[in-house]
Amino acid sequence: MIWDRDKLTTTFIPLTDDYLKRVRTEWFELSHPVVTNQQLIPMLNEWFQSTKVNDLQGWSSFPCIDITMGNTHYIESFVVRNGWDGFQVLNDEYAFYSFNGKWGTEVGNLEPNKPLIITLPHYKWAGIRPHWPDILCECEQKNIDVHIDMAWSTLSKNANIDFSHPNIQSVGMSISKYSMQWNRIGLRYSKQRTMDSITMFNHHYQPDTNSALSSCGAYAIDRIPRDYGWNTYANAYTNICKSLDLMETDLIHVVQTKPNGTAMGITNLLKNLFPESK
Amino acid sequence: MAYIIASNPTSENIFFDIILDATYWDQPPKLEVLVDDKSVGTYTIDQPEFHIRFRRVMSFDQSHILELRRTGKTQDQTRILDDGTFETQMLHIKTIKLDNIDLRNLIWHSSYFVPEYPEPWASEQQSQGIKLKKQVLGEMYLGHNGVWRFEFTSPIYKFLVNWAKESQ
Repeated sequence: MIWDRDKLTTTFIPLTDDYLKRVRTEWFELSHPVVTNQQLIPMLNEWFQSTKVNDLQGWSSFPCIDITMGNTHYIESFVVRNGWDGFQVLNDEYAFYSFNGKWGTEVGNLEPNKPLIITLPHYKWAGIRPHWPDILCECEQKNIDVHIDMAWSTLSKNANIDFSHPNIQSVGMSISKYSMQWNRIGLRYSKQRTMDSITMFNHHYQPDTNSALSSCGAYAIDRIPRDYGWNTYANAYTNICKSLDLMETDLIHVVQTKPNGTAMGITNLLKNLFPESK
Repeated sequence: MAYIIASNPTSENIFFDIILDATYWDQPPKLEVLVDDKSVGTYTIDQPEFHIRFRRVMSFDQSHILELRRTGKTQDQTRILDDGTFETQMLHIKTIKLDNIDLRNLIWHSSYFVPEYPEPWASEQQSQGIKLKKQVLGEMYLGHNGVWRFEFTSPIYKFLVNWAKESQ
């Protein structure tokens, strides 16, 4: 097969294909049972934990699990809780922060006692940040709570994180990167529940709040396996990289060009290779 | 598929923040902070925005008490000036935060102060028909020595949710 290098993109498009589109179409065309947030939590928890291509440890250190409306909700709840000046991010973070005037700090220069929110896996390195062990070590030394935005983890492999590390306080995960941006939903795992907008959403609002969202979340994870991206496209991904002389990464929708390692989106080459795959 | 479920937590480790101001012309007021009858420390409130911050593990679903024992007010700490005005020693509880949340209105509605009224001042008040309260609800300006108390339950988020529901 001949691959078109011009279809690589400088932006990173969540995985999409005909199967994922069909999941969406059938949600709108068929009827579905109602699944509440509380009913969805164990289902979604099982789904996130079911990854075979990542090594995520320490799940038992998170006794508090809450539904989120995707990872932007996770971030915004964290921001509301800590105040705009009450937390820090590293350089090269997600544009949400810089768009709103929050700029990053270099590894090694983190401010003591100020919570850190960090994106893992990260688009720039197309996987876990290379300095991740150093960052954790610095946070240990400076008494910094760590909160991990794992929005892209459904498209990753080889992510190796031990959540039981004492400085890791919470993690946000979402299903939206499987072309589910039309129904953003996810989980926040935390070691201790604090009062914030996610807690209010889960524990103060009516139990059936956003049940359309939670019902759809249950429907989606019943049809899309946790490691759908890598299970479906791993061979094609490798073939494309060999053919176009690209470097493989740990994110199914990202490759790196040689020799500089510039990250590029590959979703447009992958989509519709296997229209009916699951 | 088997997946891992964490056991339910039975406690939380929360920050307490107490911010105080004092006015005095001679000696600053003193304060002992206690949580559930256990002393956290004794402080002399001699700077504005005096900030006491500490962390404690709180067991879930039982009552806890934050207690501030205010001392250091003696008769000679109040004086009348030549122009008829007076100076005295006063302690102001400006802010109480639990788990980094300012409990302002909640404190105003549910904390209470048990003053130790000094003699002969207390008897003079009574002889004039003024009834002195044994407990003053929501008092944040502690002119007399005495004990200020705030009762709460843990987890804090649930305490706040319950308070909000009861207030509706």
